[in-house]
Amino acid sequence: MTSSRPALILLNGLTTLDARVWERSRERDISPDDILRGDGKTCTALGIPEASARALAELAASGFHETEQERADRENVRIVTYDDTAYPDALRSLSDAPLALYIAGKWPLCAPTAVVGTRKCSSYGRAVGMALGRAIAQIGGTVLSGGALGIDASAHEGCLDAGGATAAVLGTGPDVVYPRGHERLYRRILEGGGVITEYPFGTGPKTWLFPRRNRIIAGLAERLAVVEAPMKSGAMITARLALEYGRDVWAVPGRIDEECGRGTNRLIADGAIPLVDIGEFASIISNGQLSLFSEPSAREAISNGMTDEEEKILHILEKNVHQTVDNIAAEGTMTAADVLSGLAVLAARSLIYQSGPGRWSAAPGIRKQP
Amino acid sequence: MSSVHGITLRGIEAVRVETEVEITGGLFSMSIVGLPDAAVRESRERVRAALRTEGLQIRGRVAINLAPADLPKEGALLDLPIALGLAAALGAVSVPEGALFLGELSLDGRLRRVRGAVPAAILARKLGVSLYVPEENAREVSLVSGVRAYAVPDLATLLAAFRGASVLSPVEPVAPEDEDVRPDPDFSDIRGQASARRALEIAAAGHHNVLLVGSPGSGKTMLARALRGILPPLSDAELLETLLVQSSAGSPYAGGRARSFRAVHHTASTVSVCGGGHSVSPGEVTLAHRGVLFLDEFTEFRRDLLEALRQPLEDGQITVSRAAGSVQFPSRVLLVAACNPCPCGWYGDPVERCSCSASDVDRYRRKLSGPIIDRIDMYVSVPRLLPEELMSVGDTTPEDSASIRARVRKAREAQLLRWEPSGFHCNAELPERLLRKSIGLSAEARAFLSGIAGSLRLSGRGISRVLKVARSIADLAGSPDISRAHAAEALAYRKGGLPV
Repeated sequence: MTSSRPALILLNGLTTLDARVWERSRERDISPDDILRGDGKTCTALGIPEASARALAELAASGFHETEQERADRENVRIVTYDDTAYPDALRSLSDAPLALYIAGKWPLCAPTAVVGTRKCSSYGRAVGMALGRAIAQIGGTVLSGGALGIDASAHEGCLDAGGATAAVLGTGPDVVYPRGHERLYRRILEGGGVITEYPFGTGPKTWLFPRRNRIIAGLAERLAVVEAPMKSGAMITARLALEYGRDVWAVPGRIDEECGRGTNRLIADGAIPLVDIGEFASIISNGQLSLFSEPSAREAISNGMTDEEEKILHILEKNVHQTVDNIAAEGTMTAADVLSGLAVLAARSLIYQSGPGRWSAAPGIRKQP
Repeated sequence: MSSVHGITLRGIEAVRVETEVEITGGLFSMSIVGLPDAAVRESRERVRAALRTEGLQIRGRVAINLAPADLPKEGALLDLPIALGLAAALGAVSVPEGALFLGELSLDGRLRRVRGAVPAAILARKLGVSLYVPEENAREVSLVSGVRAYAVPDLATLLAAFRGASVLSPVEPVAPEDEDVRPDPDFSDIRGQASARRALEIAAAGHHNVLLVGSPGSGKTMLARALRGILPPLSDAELLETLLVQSSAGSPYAGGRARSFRAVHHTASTVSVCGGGHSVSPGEVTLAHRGVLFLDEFTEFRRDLLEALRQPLEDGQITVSRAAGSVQFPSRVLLVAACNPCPCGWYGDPVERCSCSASDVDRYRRKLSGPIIDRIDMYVSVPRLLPEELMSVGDTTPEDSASIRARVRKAREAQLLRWEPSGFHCNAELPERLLRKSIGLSAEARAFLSGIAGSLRLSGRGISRVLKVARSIADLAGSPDISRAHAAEALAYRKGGLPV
């Protein structure tokens, strides 16, 4: 009997099929060779619609499975099919599991925590995403996300900045960078982590491909944290799937009057765990073994090497968000020059962030002083 | 036949034009040759009427030749030499040899203001000849030292003087007033905005180009306008340069040593910004010479326009080449660009809601790279102050422009003292080699920067920019060394410091 690998790569090439079709082929005793021959009768037996069957025949005739494998070898991408032992068990248990995965970079990742959210996030959401990414990296975890703009990117970046490993599940082919401008981020991700997709080489961004890949994020993750998501969004799809698969879902509470807070608040109302403290979240997901954040010395470590002005500014920002230089200078009786140099240093250390033009807030996740 | 000298402008340079007049018998006709433009051709009506008020009737065939013949002549400033040529040809007067005349005639013989008086004065000084200008141009001409100039109210006075009936008094050379620049708006009119005030002071001190990012209504335009008032007053040489430009463009001298402020709209054509056109006139970048060039809605500017601005910003001069030849204009400006944080403008606003999609914002941000953005040293985000914040900062009167200007002046003097031996004037001009060697970075600041450069992912160019700005901050503080605090503050103005 020939290997099932070429047939799986071929079927996967349609980008619409999943493991159900493969299970059906087993039930009906259709051999991989039959599939590779791709005649209409086999397709009908497998329940593949006529249009897809024609596309499949074309792919088979053009030797898709062979060129795909060659290209993967050339570009250092691994193709792991449903029947391979390397195929992640977490996905195999899904009824609609992908037929094949294209994996670049490091694999497998240990204990991945997914961090997802809207692309159109606020600067606060970005800061929370980054803080979560950092916190997960600091307890030695892996951040899994979708490599998109907004929350996804901030979580990847926060993790990378803290020296952690992160993986992106793409909604495009493994060689396609989407959105434009994320080339640098993808390179950084590949340095210590991986990029995973079920879509073949050259698959461009199509709206219907992104929701599909969310099942891979939900399936691979041990737990999921949602930061800023409107009711109708990819992040909500991911969260629903994760609940279905029995993963822990955490949601960062949002404002009730804002679009991007509605989804997360709804998740909490429906039973997700409210993520109200990043330190607590980190210590719970590391099973309380490594609780960097709850140590009282954490804040002291932050203060280490800080000038008096920097200390004072951080204090002011911990009390109030969205402060301008004017406010800080007035409250701390400092000159604008002192405030600006303090802000620059604190921002470089990721302790504060600019929450709007000329407005500053303390980064979430810095423990307040008692 | 008689000949009188006038000028025509080539860019901001005056070129001598010889006006030859010949009158022969026959029916009346008057033709002007030598590539005259419409304004020059129409001068015959003005000249005829003006001469008639002096009782000089022109009869017969009149031929007027403007030499050199291949140089296009433009503007009404040739009215006076043509009229004098005619008067001389009629034998009514004898015109002094070699002198330069310029002025537009009114029908009753009065002389009107013309553009190009300052270039003409410089040409007259070079040639060592005397210059006759309309009275209204006397003020700007008086600022050019070493030129023998006479202010003429009307044709009658001039003709009387040449007949010996009266004496024209020469224009007294005046040293430009040191009268203080009157800033509009003054920094004392601006409430709050401590960070932008501070940033603009540094920009003025080191001549750093600035980008202001803020929501609509945050006061970016007002801040940009206020910047002019804290720049040091023009030096004598700089004043002459700006006079030359303004005189060529036809804008009158306003007095004082204030620098110019030119705001360019994003729909402006490349020619209007860089100079050019049929008669090769100076563009906005030249009119802003030694002053401030303000590009509001920076992201809306066409890429080719920004591309065209790159060279004049870098070299401090622009060469405009046309079929008729190429002309050089000066263009040393302090660039202030301003833009919103996102297409709708409300990104990160504490009250208003931003309606842009993630990719809109991303695309918008990507426009902040490219042609001129790498000429910008400082990125300043300007908060939109909320009413309650405005109320709380409203009690004390903020520092006025004059005191800020005094500090800026001191900092400029320190820079000049330090860099002039190497041929530079301000920190923004410093090349890489000087930055690394003789910028006066303290050991503490060096350790601080090298510690932080990695985590900020600063590029080589980014570090150079931080060093230049830090040097200006130290100069403002009167410190020979760049301290850790100076370096840290400079980091607040890097591009990565903008909200994301």
